[in-house]
Amino acid sequence: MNVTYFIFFIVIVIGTLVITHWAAERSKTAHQFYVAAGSLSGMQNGMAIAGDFISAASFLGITGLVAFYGYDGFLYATGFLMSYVILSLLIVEPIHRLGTYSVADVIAARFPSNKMRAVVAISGICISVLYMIPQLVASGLLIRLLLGVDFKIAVCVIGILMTVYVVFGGMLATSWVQIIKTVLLMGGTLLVVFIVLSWVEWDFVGLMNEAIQQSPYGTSYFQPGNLFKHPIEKVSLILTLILGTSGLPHILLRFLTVKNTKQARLSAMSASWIIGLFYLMTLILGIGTIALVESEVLLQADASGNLAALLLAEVVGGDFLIAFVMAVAFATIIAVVTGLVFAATSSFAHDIYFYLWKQKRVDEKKQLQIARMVAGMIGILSILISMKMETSNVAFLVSLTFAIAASTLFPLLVLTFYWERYNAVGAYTTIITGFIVSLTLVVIGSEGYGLVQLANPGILSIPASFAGGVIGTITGKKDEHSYQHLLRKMYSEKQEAAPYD
Amino acid sequence: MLKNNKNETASSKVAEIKKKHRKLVSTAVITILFLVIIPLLLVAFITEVNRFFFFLAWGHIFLLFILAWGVGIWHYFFIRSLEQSRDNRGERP
Repeated sequence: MNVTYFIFFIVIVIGTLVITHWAAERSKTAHQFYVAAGSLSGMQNGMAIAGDFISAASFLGITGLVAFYGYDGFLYATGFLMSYVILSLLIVEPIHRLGTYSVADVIAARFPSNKMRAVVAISGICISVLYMIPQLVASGLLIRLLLGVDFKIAVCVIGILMTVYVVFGGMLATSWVQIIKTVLLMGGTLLVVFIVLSWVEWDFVGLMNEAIQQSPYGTSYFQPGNLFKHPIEKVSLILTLILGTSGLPHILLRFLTVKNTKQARLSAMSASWIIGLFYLMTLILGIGTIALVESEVLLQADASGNLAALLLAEVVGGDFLIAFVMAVAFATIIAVVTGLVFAATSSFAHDIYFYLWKQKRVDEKKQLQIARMVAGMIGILSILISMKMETSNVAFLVSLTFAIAASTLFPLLVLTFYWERYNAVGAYTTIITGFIVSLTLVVIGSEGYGLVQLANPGILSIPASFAGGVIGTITGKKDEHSYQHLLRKMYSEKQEAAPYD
Repeated sequence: MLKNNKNETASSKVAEIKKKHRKLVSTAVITILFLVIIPLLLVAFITEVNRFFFFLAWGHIFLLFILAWGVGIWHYFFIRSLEQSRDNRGERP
């Protein structure tokens, strides 16, 4: 094992464990554990959201996609960025005003039944676990590729770390791990961008011309159509990406960690700036990779393009820069999986255990104890499942997660907040239709059995879930008071978070 | 009389909230349409041979960045102005 790489990894692990120790001292109550007592500022939360959102797939994958496919690779990134427009406009404020510790709290504000809470909580857990497994599998594969460590050991190390952060440090440790990851990611990416540009003596046009010469697509490298051959596939993917983010519980929960709606809006806005600037830098990295690293070398190293940033770092900076980029990738992985464990934990401990099982008859100490136990169990379970799924199709699981999130929780939240006529029957049919249609289409689609040539089912499953919600509402009993009740809760009753102690 | 005034204030508040919601939903829908329809129109009506194709395609993609950041800023100040006008009227948040 390369000693420089190992030192960088150890520094990241020690740094994050120190944060966890500091956060553990400040996570003594359920409010502190679940939402960091609303102590984060809008800017800090924006950085944490960026840390939670930009996965290793984004950092390494988008650079590779731009390197391989040029324009289309970059178009992929804009789908992720644009999701923050939808999130800011439609979701952030109601989530902050209505939520306490979980997404189910928000829906229960309009449809306050245990059955509804259970359905939303189970959907949230499914989405978080479905997203966590491919992240863990991908991280295991990546660490194996980078360090030569066995896949199972790599998954175990990352799994144990994420569990320790959540169990001991709660939301505060999770947030600060994500903030530090964002600083490292932005700093590291900017550093590589500067090195690449100075390598070509700041001649960006020359770099583009070199990319055209090196790419197998030649002059078409900067034109659309290299990755997305069919316009329907392109629309479907973009729809799934921009709407899926608004249905990811680990992102939604982040808006509960600030003290007021102004800070929540500031969080979303600052996150979109950070994420946008990051993707602009990946464009330069991608073009730099294809120009400075031969495309055959890139293909031989990893056909998916995930090693593009590292190969570029090797060419322009040598061993030390590779170690730094690897450390950033490692921090990226642990920050994302930690957020996912946390989302699954809060759904299970707060919604299933506290509300449904114990009917709220549990004291604060016991709640916290159970939340920590649940985090530990979810961590162990995820490690065990991920170990068995070494050969699973990561892209399939990620597209399944985004498709389910965009077709279940997103339509449910939008219709709950903005449609007066919506009722409980409509809410159930929204989730059930979205879940069944997206799951079926992914399984029979080109990423699954290949019966239908559609990799991303969003173009069908998202309208289907909205249609399911409308039909369910029309057939269900008219409920005139739930919307007025919701508006009252949204605009009158929200208490500011208790100051952090 | 007092009761009537109270009802009028409540209904005007609800109307204001609904107006705000309509504005947010329509902005979101326009954004989605812009994101989805422009690339389709580009491919449908302009061939890659067209000398403007390159600039239109990249112009669209960079416009999306400006749009994402611009809408974020607009939304932040739009809600702030609504809250300020509500505070000026002496209503509780």
